[in-house]
Amino acid sequence: MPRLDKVAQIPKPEQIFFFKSCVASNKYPGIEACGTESLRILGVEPVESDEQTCCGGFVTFANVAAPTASMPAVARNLSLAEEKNLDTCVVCNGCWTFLNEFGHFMNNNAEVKGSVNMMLNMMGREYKGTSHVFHIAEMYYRLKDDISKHVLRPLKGVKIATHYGCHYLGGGKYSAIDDAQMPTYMEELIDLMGGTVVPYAANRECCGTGFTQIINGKDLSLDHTQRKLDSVQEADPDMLIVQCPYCHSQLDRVQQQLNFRQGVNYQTPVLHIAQLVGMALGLPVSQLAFAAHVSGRERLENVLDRVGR
Amino acid sequence: MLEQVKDWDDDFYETFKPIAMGFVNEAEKCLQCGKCTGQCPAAAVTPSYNPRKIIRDLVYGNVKRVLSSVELWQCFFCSGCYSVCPMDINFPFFVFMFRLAAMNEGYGWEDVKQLEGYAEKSYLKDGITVSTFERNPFVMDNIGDISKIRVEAGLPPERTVSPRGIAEINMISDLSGMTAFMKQIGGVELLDCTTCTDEQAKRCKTKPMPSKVGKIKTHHRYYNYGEPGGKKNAEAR
Repeated sequence: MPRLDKVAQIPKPEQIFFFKSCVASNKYPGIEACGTESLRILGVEPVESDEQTCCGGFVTFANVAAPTASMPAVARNLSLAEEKNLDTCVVCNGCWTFLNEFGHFMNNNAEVKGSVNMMLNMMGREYKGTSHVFHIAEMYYRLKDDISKHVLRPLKGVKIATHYGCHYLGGGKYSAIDDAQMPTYMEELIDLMGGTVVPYAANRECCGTGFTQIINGKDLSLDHTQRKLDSVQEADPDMLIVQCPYCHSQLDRVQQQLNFRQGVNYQTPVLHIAQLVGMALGLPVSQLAFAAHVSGRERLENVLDRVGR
Repeated sequence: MLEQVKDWDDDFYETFKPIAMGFVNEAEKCLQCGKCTGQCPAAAVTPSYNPRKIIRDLVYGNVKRVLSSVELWQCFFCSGCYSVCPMDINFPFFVFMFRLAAMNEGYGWEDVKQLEGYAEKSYLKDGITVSTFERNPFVMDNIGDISKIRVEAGLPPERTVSPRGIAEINMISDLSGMTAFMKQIGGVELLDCTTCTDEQAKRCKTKPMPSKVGKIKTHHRYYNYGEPGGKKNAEAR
């Protein structure tokens, strides 16, 4: 059950700073296209900036970057939104935790904030801590009344399973809008758009990317993803909805790798929540960019045939 | 690996706390309830990985056991342990700081070295951590050119970060010690004078720097927390 008091705190702005994610831009462009376009339909104008870089969370937690570099990188990106007096909307759980938690850390630690600002002042920027960071799924839940008004392609008869991802609910257990163990807001959104929610046993399991494990400890990573996919396949949904592009990339691409390595046959399409909302709001099929998906493309075409192109 | 008396450090936790930038604290509150291990995805596939034991060793000061272990590098960073912890101990941050401490002792550099490209070739050069590069032939054949898909979706063919943005994160990297840190990992690619922009030329130091500073010798890591993992060991017994 979502924390309604937290949801009520989310404003309904006219404009929002759209924070672009690396995986969403370079691997699954549909997430970026649908994210901006669906927000526009729902009455929130996304504002982008070329100067925005990656959140830097990956390089920090992969221990490639010194931890001292993380705070100023976060502060710089948030200061771009502050310059425009906007809140920030992210599409990735990783970006959300990194910007949100490190932003909190700086806001409550004057010493760190001071030294970060000393660095940012050298490049003519300042971090004030006024831009709140919202995940796009939160925004959708906040705007759910507008979504139900604008549904052009009801997802009737489409069986949908959900995967929330760890860093939103787990990493931000006090700032997320739902409970870490029994989240339901994505199910509510799916119901709203006319889809059928399919429960499965390993819903709260991690996708198995394990941050760097997919690169450094591939066996562990694939083992874990296989457990997850086994459970998904048992429930046999038409699609699996994620809210993090990194989970998206893992669950989508590893299916093919497991099929190749182990002779199994996983064919479940994986979609980001922005793509699902975009689909329901009737965005053109080219904008959903399913061409960038690796697994379950046939099934995806089948779903499109059923809900209308 | 046999423990020796000198591997124990009663004050380790107290001295580690301030160095770890406020990320490692409240470990002494740990109840040893094991909820973290119970829901851990890494522990599910490799049973020797055990967050509870790592916290215990931190508080007791069994430093060498933690830092020289393979298990330290098996964390998935999913924050599940934090989400179930009754005492709100943010264990992933512990692992993060522990890994830095282990690198300081000469462990685990080979793992980090594999990830260096993300920072050096992608994050600092393009401002974007994950590039469009694909190494899987199946994916290459099936997806083809991502810029074509981007154009069809109504986006510019390539996402770019402005030169000013890139110059700024490079400046942050220099000022905060990230560049020096990455040199330790294996040499940051130096900007050469033919490709460098005016903005970069302004920042350019007069003294030429070597492309690699030192060669870090990595130590062997051990399974310090029991039987190494694997699918057959992970079955419930």
